[in-house]
Amino acid sequence: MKLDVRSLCSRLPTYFSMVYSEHVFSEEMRLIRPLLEVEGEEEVNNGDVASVIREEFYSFIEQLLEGRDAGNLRDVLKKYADWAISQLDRVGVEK
Amino acid sequence: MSLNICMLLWEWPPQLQGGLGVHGYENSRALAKLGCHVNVITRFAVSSPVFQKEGRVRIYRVPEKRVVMTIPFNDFRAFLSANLAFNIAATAKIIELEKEKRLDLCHVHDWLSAISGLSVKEALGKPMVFTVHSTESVRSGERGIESIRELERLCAEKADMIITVSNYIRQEVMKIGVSEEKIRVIYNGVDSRRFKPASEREKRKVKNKYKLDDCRVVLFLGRLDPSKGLDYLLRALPMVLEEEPETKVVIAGQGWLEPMLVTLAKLLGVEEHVVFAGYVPSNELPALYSTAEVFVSPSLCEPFGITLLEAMACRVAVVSTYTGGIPEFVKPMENGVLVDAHSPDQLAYAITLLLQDEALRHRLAENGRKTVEKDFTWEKTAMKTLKVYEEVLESSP
Repeated sequence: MKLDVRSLCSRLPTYFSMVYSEHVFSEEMRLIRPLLEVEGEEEVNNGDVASVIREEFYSFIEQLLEGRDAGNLRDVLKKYADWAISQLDRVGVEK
Repeated sequence: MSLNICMLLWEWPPQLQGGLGVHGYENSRALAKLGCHVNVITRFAVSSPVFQKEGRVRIYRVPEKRVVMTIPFNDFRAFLSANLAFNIAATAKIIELEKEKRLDLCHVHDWLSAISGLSVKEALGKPMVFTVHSTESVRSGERGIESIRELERLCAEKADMIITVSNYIRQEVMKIGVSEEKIRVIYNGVDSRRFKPASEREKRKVKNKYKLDDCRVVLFLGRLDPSKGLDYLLRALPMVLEEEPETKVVIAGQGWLEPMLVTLAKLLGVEEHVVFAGYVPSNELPALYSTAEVFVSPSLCEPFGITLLEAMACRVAVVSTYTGGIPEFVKPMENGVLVDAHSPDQLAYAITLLLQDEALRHRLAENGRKTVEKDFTWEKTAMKTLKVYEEVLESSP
């Protein structure tokens, strides 16, 4: 699946407006589903999901900080990304 | 002191959903009027430029470039992934801004921008102010997400100072182990130059649009979600109609609960007396408020309740509930009426009382306007916020 983060950021209703329940998740995410390009989902799901996501985010961080003198920010961001990724499977509604 | 502030906001117009966005927008503008340079970093919005300048407020929308990721999908992953991507992109933008002009501090709003504020604090030692508009426990009770609670706890612990929008939220933050000395309560405000009683002509336009001629209008405005207690308002309506048969309840706003509310109105046999107005553009709001004889906010849980202040500013009598931050500014029988949450009977009594007692209605409405003008302006909110910034910077190494 390919997730266009820029489109996603622009269309997601704020979390603040929601009561997180399975119903709400399904309803709110229904709105953005047409924006998501599904590709190779089966393959990914058979692999190590967290590793795939981590790789995507690490590459995103590198891309944004490329050529910048950001001290240890790169490592700090990766640490928080790791934490966030570790939370992804704690709650959720499977498709 | 002319400060350079980085305001990290998940919401910014045109993406306004609740109190966080309104507060962020109005407070940023008011801080700019006090001489601060406010750099807002918010999420990308379709049809909005990635950079905008409004006086001393600069708005940066991130991510700026199309980013496509391969992510195994489910709803929770997608939401958190989008939020994480926003936080990473926001952090990169802060680095860029720091090079151009030294930022004095970062101001985080709720958990949604916490990762960015935390990263910058940890890597660059930048002071961080954390405004808590609500908490996961307030929003979702026991059904809330532990990961979000963890992020709130971490952000509260690391922040140099915490601002809460009411004493009620202050108590909630203290429950997660934050010391009282670190918290300042700064109430939301309302723009009383914009929110004021509308002219007869403007009211007529609204009445025509929503077919409210010869009706007694009772208004609700807000998100249509369970925390707003709208089912109790609908259950109160048959009792109100027994006394005041010309009443119409206007429910303005959007939310996933709408189809269920439509069904409930039908089941109660009051569908002819309920108007679902949907999204109302911001420039029409003062006229809509002014058309109402009574504004009702039947919330079951409310960190603050900005719409009540807006209605009061438009000189409309308000009915609400003894819940959350509401009793901190709605004083029973002084500038409004408060009833117990979850009580259709009490709501019906209060609405009927105000519809029938014109003198009382006018007195409460008049006092409501005075309350707003005296104590709830964005200028006051900004002045208190600036004081917090100065306090933080004075104690920073």
